[in-house]
Amino acid sequence: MVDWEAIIRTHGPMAFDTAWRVLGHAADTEDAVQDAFMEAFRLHRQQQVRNWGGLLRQLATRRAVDRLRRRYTALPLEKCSSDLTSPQSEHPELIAIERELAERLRRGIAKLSDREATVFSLHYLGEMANGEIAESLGISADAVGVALHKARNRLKQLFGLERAESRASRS
Amino acid sequence: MNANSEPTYDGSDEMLDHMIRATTAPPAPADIKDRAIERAVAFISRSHSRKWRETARPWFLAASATVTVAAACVVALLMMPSSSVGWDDVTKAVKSQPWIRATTTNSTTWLSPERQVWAFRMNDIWFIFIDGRKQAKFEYRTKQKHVAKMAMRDEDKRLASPNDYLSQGIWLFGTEKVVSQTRREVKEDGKNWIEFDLVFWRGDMNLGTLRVNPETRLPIYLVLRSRTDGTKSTRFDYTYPTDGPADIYALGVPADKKIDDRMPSKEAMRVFDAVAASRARIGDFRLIVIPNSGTHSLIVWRKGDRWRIDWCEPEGQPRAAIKPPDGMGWGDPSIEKLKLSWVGPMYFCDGQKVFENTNLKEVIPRRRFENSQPPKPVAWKPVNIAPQDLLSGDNFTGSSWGPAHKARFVSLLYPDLSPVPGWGFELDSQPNGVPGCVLIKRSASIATETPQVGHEWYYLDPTKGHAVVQVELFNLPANVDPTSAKDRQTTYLEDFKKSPQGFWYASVIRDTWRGSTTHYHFDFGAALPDSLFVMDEASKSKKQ
Repeated sequence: MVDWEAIIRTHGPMAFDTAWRVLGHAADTEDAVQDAFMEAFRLHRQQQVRNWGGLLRQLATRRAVDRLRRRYTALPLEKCSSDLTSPQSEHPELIAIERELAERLRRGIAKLSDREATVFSLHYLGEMANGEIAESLGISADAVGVALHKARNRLKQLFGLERAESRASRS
Repeated sequence: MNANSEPTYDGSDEMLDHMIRATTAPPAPADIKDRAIERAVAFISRSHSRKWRETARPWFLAASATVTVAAACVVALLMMPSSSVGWDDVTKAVKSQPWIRATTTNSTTWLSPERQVWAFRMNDIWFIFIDGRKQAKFEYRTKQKHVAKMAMRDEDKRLASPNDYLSQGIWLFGTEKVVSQTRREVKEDGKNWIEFDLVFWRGDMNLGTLRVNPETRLPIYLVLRSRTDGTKSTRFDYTYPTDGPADIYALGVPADKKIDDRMPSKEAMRVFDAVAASRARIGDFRLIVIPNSGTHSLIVWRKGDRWRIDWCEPEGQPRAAIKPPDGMGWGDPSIEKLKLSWVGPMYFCDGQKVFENTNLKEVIPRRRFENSQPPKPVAWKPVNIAPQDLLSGDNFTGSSWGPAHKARFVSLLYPDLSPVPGWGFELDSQPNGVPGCVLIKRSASIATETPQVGHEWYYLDPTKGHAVVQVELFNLPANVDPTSAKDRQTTYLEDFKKSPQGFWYASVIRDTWRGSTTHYHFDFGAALPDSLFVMDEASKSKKQ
C-alpha cells in the first residue's frame, strides 16, 4: 500500500525545490509540482516505484520545463518576472545581476531538447547524481553524461551567440 | 544596471557555472512550498480511491494501511493451514462464531461469515460497512456530507465472503496469507497457552504470533512484527460477540448523514461482470513482450499459480550457442529476435511468494557496455509483490525496474472500472468516436492552482469480450465540457486475437503519450515445464 501522505511530505519538498529552481516563479512552481503529483499517481498504477524521490523530482522537472517553454514562447524575456524572494546578496545591483543570470539560464534551458533540459535541470538544479537520473529516466548513465555534455555545449553556444548579438547591436 | 556590472556572456564554462549558482541560490519560498504540500495531502484524502491504495508498501503500520491489515488479520483466522495439530480445531472454532471482532489501538474490524458482513472503523474518521447480501459497500469519512453507497468491488466481495476467500486463497495487496505456521505451547502466569508462529505470504515483511486459548480454541490476539525493525509491531485483540453492527450507522456514523446512492446501473453492472469474466479466461501462457525501444524484451510464463519473468537483453551479435529457455525453441519466428539476446531470470513466483533475481540488476548495466561480462549467478530474494499480481494483472507493477512494467498486460486490457469513492463515474453506451464500443468515464478533482479535473475515458468493445480498445487521459479546468478536450494522452490497444479458451487480447499497444509501441506475442499452447518454476534452493537460502 502506498502511503501517499508520507511520500508527499518526504519527497514533495525536494521536488518543489527543483521545480522552483527551474521556474523561479512561485505560482508556476506550485502548478508544476501539483501536476507532477497527479502524474505520479497515474504512473504508480502502471509501474512499481522504488525511488519516489527520483520520480517526483523528475516529473516536477519535466512539468517545470514544459511551463518554462510556454512562458518564453508567450512572453518576451523582459516581461518575465521571477519572484526571487531571498537574494544571496543585499546589494541591489548584484541582486539584479544574479536574477538576470538565472533568468537567462532558464531561457536557455527552454531552448534545449526535452532530454537535455530534463537531464540538465535534474543534475544542476535538482542536484541529482548521474546514476540517479539514469535510473529515474530509464536510460543509461552514459546517456545522461552525453545529454549533460550536449546541454552544456548548447547553452554555452546560446550564450555566446547572445554576446555576439549584443555586441553587434551596440556597434 | 551599469556597464561595469553587466554580466558578460562569454560562452565559457565558468560563466555557465555562475549562472547555475545564480539559479540555485535563492531558496524556494517556504510558505508556497508548504501550501503545495498541504494541498497535495488534502487532495489525497479527498480522492482516496482504491487506486491510491493498491500498491504495496514495505511496512503496514501507517494509518492508511490499517484497514487492509485489519481485514487480513480477521480473515486470516478463517484460513489457517491445517497441517499442524490443533490448527483444524482452531479454524473450526473460529468459523462457528457469529461475529469476530479485531481491535487495535485505533481501529475495530467486524466479520460475520454467516451474514456476509465486513465492517471497519478507524477512530472517528473512517467507516466502512460491506453488506454481501445487498452487494453494496457503504463508506463514510469525517467531514463528508454523505455516506457513499457503492457496488462491491472484487476485494470487497472477498472480505464479506470469506468462504470464497478460502477457496481462492488469494487476496490483493495489504493482506497476508498464512503459508505456514509452527505450533508451540507457552506457560504464562501459571496458565497454558498455544501460540502459532506464522509465516506470511510475503515473508520478507512481517512476522506474526497468534495466541490461542486452549480451552475455547479461539485466538486471543495476533501480534505482527516488522521483520526488519523489531521495534515496530501492532496487536490485534480478538473477541467474539453474539451480535455486530447492522449497518454503517451502528459503527458510529452520525445519523444525519444521508446515503448518497452511487450504485451503478444494471447495464454498468453487466459490463463489469463481462470484463471480470473475460479477465478470468486468460489461463496459462507464454508471453513475449517486445517494446519498440529495442533495449530489451521480456518473456512471461504462467502456469496456474506459478509464473516467472525473464529479461532479454540484445547482445548485438548472434549467439547461437545460447541455450533457449526451457520449453522454448529458437524455431518460433515470433521470437527470432530473442535468439540474439542474453536471457536472464528476473522474477519468479512459486505459487506462494514472489522472488526477484537481485543479481540481474548488477549484470544488465554492465552488459550494456561490456559484452564480455559473464552473467552472475541467480540470487533470489523475496520481494513485496503479491503472487496474484501477474495473474490478475491488477496490481502487477513489474519491479523497481521501469521497463519491467511492460509485463503488466491484463489490467490494461480488462481493468476494474467499477466506481470508487472520490471519483465520478458515467457509462455511455453509444459514444461518439469509437463505434460499437461502450465508454466508461471516470474523473477526479486535482488540486492545482486553478482547480482542474482529471478525466479517464475507457472504450470497451463488447464484440471482444468488453476488452479496452482505447484509453484517453486528460485534465481540464473544472466546469469545462470534457468533450472539448483536444490534448489527450491516448493509448490504443490493437490487432486483437482470441485464444482457444476465448480470451480476447490485443497484440499491439500504442501509447501516444510516451510514443511507445509494444508488441505482445502470446502462446497459449506453449510448453510450460515445471522446471521453469523450480527455484535454485541454494541461491534462495543465501538471500533469505
